[in-house]
Amino acid sequence: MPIEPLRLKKLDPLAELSDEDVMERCAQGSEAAFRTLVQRYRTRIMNLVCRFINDRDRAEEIAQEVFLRVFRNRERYRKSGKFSTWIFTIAVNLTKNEIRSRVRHRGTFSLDAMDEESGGQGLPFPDWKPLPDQDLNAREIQQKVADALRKIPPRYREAVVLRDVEGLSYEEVGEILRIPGGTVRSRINRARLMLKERLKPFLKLEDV
Amino acid sequence: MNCRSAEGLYSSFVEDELSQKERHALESHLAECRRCSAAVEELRATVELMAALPSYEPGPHFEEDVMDRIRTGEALRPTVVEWLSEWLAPARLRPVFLTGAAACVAWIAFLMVNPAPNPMVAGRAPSPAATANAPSSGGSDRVAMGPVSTAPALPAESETIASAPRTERTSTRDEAVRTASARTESADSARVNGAPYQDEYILDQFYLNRTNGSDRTSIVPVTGRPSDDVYIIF
Repeated sequence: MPIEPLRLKKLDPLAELSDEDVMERCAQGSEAAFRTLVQRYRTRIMNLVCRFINDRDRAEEIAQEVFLRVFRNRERYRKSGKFSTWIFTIAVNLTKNEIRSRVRHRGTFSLDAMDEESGGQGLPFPDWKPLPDQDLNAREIQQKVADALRKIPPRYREAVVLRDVEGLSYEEVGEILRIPGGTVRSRINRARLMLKERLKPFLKLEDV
Repeated sequence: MNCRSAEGLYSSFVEDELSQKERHALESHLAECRRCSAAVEELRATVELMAALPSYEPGPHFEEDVMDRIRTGEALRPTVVEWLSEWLAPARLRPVFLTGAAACVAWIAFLMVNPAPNPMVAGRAPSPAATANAPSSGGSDRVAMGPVSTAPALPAESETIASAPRTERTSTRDEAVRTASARTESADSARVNGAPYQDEYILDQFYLNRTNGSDRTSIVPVTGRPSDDVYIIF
């Protein structure tokens, strides 16, 4: 039996490192480390900003700005803190600035106004892949969840998105939003109750 | 437990973060309350739906766009807030604060070592040469001119109240300070003897001249500046 030649896999030395270690390399000037962080977090940051401001084009600009700020402040990052908390804090702050700016220019920030801009349909649903017929109902429900999320007040939305969509811990949510743990729990519970009320008809359908 | 207090625990219950006591109380309530029991299940389903939401993917050129913006130098331009926070960083401000604190400590130590009655006046005292020339200049020196030229304008009573040391004191600021010190000492000695105060300083610029056995009191400037030529007679 012929012996197959040993194939060596090209390993990415950064792949096994934690975010904090990669960020440390980035602070030392490694472009590859920075690219690794962009690849790891671009979807999460884009998703977070999109859920907050409901404007895909602007969300992408803000997400890029988040990474530019990470690069600009790479030497100020302290390894003692979690990288995810740091980058999500930057993203939340930039998003809040965007909302403030819109409120200033329009007098009020209304998600309904955003709906008008997008033809009353809200943001196009992110899953563009064709779904089989049996999944159409699930897709419709996901659209309803996204709509319900856009309708709750921003301070509740940001807490529940960080917790339930991004999967961060209560402590991280509190650190990012700069609110105490009790307030985090209260806001998340309140947000879920609001969402539950809006989604009640679809939840019943799910149960059936 | 009522429905209202139970509602505040729904999320913690779903995520299994309640204490044993809270969990037991809530479970007892849920066993009796069909509405709350249904609400908990709806909330659980809501959380699951939220977690199942698909993500918004960035555009295919996202990474290269970011790298291009870095290469063009756009990422290196700090915002106003970043620029200010950089300038006001604790590490940058620490030497300034330390210098200020050291200066304060040195000043306090100086005041403790030299408990002069009025160090500001003493610091502004003219040179000995100017002091020596003052009486003979006949008003040419601005410092010495004020009190000397205005003293005759005072009423006769105030001249009698103002004793000889006051006339000397008004010639120069140095002498004024020396005489003021002497007056303070005399006042202290009078206090020891049970006598009333002879004079008191007011705002380091005037002193209150009282005379024993008389109800007449005058406020006399310590320095010899013309602007201080105010004599108030009581």
